[in-house]
Amino acid sequence: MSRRTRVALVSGVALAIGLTLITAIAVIGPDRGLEGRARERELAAEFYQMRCAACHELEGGIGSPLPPRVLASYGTAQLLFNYVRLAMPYEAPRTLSNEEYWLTVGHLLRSRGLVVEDAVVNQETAEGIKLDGSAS
Amino acid sequence: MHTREVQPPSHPCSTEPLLPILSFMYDPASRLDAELEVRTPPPSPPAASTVIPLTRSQVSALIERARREGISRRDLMKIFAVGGLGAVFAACERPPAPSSSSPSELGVADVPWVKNPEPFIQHPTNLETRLELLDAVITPNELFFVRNHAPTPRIDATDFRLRVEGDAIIEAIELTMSDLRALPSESVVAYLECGGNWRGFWGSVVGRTAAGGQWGTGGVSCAEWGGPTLASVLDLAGIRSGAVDVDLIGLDEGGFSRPMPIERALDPTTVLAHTMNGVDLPPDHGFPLRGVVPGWVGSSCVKWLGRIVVSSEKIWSRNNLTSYVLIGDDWPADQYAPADGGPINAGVVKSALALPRPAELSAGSNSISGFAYSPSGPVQRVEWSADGGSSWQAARILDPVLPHAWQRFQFEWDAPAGSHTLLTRATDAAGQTQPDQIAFNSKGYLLNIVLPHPVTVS
Ligand code: HEC
Repeated sequence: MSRRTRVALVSGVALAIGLTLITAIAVIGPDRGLEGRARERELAAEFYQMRCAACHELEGGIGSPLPPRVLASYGTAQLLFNYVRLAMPYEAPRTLSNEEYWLTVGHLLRSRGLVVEDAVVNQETAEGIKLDGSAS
Repeated sequence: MHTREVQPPSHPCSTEPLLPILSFMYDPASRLDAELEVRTPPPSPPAASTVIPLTRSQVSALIERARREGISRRDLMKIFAVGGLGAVFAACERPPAPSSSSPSELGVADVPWVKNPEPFIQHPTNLETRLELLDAVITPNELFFVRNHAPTPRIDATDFRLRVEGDAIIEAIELTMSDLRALPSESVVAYLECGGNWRGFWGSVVGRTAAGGQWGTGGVSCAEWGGPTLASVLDLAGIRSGAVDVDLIGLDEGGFSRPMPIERALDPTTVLAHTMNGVDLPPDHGFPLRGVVPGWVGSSCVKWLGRIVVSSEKIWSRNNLTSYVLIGDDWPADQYAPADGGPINAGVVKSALALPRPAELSAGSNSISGFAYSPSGPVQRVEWSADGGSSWQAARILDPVLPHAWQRFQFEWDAPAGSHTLLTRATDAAGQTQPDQIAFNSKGYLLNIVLPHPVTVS
């Protein structure tokens, strides 16, 4: 596959996700059952692909690959959230909703193995999620 | 020469035509293609039916929509270059309004700085100085660049205490601002530069993009700093023999911390500044107290300094483990463990023009000025070239020349109409000069290659 095709493909997927995601985020209510939580994790991954991955997961991106050690250096999930909310996405900082920021932070922590797969990462839990390896 | 313009994403009202993005998209030699080398496989498509191949009409519709919603071509291209179409749509989707909860509700600040950001090139947490606004060695506080890792904290100087502690301290102490002001005060005129200054040029001049805040040339400024030496403060607590490292820790969120070896801490040029250009430090520059380590990169000059730890062992923090380290083929990781790469301490010799980028000049005689600096004392020589480096001429170095400051330089250029590239090259007292080639490091620190400055003369 040529690079151009890949780029078009990534863009196409991102586009499709983009259109469904905003609705989907609104549809999932605050009372999430097990299934809701699983769906939320999926959404988080998709949202991260859409708004963060182009810089942080592609070779030659202006964002670093965010290895576990770098994320852990923030100390708690709350401090990581605070930074991401203040500074990201780089081209349009401070423009996402808090729900979207929590989704991406949760996704980052899960995908880097800093919290367990079904950990709940949000305003209520974040302070207690220590990122030194002893995370819940 | 292709240079990237580093601009804040905050000028959504440009009326520039949007059409060039089409050629940008379909041109195989475009930056989009050149830079999107896939590191990990792209997300696997959820289902074939959801993969939407983009037609030209969809792209036109997108651009039309972006135009209606006031997103400029530059913004669009930038978002596009980094995020693909999805990001463009997402950007169109959302009004540039802040998040749903108010900052106070969250207990976090919504704005990273206190000063007026208008005169600066704005980055998410940083304010980049426009060098073209400067015409003296001293940078006015309002124009001095800001590099924040967290929002500027608002600190009450009356409650403030500096704590000095650690296993290599004889007796831990706490000092008030009155205590600190009562100590003999030094004055040093020193430039400060972010270790990542110029990072945004790696892609265009070296061919590899570096990860991190995409600074142009304005992550540097110069001020007069006043306060006691760090040595005199450490002396009050008493240092044990065998002290190895001194960590300066900020009161900002997360407590920005950057350790330095005891020798550098005791160097008489290392000061704890409480004034900047004759007034109390402004909030964004560390009020009420900061470190100033002349010649060393800005991260060593910890702002909002609240705690100093002196240790008999090497101290590690985020800022000498994963950040502010040189990562690349020339810095084998095992040699620097537990850090990810070679530490950066001192800066490097550099020069930059006090012109917008790209610059527009009128044909005929132009007086061009700029700034040159080196951690090893005043720059001795600045040369300039308007012919791509075939011939070099000497620029004048302007007074005053101070040991830790940057130097202003100036030259006259009889500019013919057309597109040009100006080059400048500084050489310091130690004979170090700006190179034509440089080893890549993935976080893009210490770039000091001879930097092309695009100029249009009409
Ligand atoms: C346009 C490119 C871009 C996009 C999109 C982007 N980032 Fe970043 N990211 C960067 C850059 C550049 C930095 C370095 C910023 C700095 O140091 O000033 C960064 C830094 C970070 C850091 C801190 C890394 C460290 O070393 O401490 C985190 C965490 C992060 N981004 C997460 C995210 C998340 C989550 C998203 C999606 C909501 C996102 N980024 C979207 C470019 C991007």
